[in-house]
Amino acid sequence: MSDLTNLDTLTPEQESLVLDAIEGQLRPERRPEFERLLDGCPGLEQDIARLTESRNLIAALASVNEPEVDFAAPVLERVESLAVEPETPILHLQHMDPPARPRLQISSTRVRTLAAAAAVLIIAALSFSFLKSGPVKPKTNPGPDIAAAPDGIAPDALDPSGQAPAPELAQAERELRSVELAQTHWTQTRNAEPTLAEAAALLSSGRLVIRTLAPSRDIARAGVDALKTGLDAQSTAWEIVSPSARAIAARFDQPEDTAPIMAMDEQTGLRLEIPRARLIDVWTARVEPDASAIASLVHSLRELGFTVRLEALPEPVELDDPLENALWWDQSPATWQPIESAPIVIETLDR
Amino acid sequence: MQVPSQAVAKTFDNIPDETLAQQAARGDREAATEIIKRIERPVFSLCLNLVGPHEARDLAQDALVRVLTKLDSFSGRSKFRTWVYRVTTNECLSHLRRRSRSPVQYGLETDPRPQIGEPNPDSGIQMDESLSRVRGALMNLPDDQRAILVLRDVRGLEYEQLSEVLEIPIGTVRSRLFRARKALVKLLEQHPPEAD
Repeated sequence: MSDLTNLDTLTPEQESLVLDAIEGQLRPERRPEFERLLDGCPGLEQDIARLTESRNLIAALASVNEPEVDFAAPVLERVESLAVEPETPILHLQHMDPPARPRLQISSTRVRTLAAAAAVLIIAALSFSFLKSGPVKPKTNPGPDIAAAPDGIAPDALDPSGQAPAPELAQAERELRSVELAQTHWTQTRNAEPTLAEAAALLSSGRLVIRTLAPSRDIARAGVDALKTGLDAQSTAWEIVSPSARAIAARFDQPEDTAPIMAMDEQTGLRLEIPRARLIDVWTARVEPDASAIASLVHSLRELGFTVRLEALPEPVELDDPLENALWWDQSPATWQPIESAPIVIETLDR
Repeated sequence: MQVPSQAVAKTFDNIPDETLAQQAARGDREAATEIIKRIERPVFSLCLNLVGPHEARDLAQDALVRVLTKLDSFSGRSKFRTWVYRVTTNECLSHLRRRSRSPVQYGLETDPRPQIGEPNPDSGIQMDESLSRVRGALMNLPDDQRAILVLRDVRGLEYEQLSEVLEIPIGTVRSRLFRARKALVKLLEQHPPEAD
């Protein structure tokens, strides 16, 4: 009896042919190819017969009369005990809440009051520092509120404690802070966020929108690339379908406003100009109308660096479903899951 | 008017697995019980052929608990049974990997794998010598080869389902299946049946 070395020389195509023959599934049109293979390799037929015999033996295990089992009671007991002390779920509902950030007050009619208070603080700080360590050189580029500040000193050049001139808040640090403030501003100026269960109901009625904000264009671009290259492979409960039609995207595009947005950072006491959010793209997501599916999608978007906010639309939005969704039709209706569409609005901070 | 209990008892006869799974995921205890009844035998059988008779019951229960607690992650893109096989196979293969890393090594006397051709007196399963021999040979194959043979030949999964259960591409399914078939023949021929 050979040691099956005939089988070691087969190409993957020939292996596939042999596998089909072993299982009795060789299609008639492939039979001539199979016979040519046998003719060209003496001894192969015997090897295939041995494979077939062992295959039939394994298949016979399916008919073995195995003992009756009844696992319902112990399994349900274990499941219910787990429900009392559940495993840590992948996503807690609480994770949907935005992280706590310092409260922010955006300039508006109250800005004058705030500016006056800031000016008093600045004067006090300057006087103190002048007495202690000599005059402070004015900055060459004082920022938008320079006219309102006495002595031409930018308010953000000072330590809010008034102890000394600010330990020179570096440009990078200031930019970082302004991005954080802009993200907070963006979140706080959105409509109230629905709970996950409410979001699932909104999704079912076509009224859910998933708004995202990237801190920079690079992160937004990387995020969009991730959507293009199959971010949805992470989940079976949702998928990212395609960019939405221009008409849909236009619906989320705000008219351009070039006036600067100033923000008071209560953490440092400084007023900073914060970048505006600009629309980059709108994509369509298909999601099971289920809290865990929505949470999973939100989590994945956050992993890409987006700030994510769920919102209710006043009216249902009609999203275009591309033809490939029809692939689901070839499966049994029993396997269908309700699945709904929602726009993912992608914005970035315009820096 | 009091309604007789039989009149309100749920009947699940014509309800597909996938619908039952949805009901169970929403906390319907009766649906969960019905699901267990439908899948416990194939799950036990798969465990029996993957980990052997000594551990099959425990592993089958572990797999069923896993199925019920993960129902919300079943999306319906595949058949429910395919998903159940995937969960069960993962449970068994994880167990086997943990066991292989265990500092307690199985000696010849304590090795739970049956010797080829040796019946398993405590398995409660009646089978003739040739089947006992092939099950013994299966248990002596590498885990990945045993899994693919059992899923294909005993459970009857298609290549696409094997690809999904084992999380490998179709091409790898074919090559692994081919290698597993060769390895099994060699094992069986190294341990021919004893002559009467």
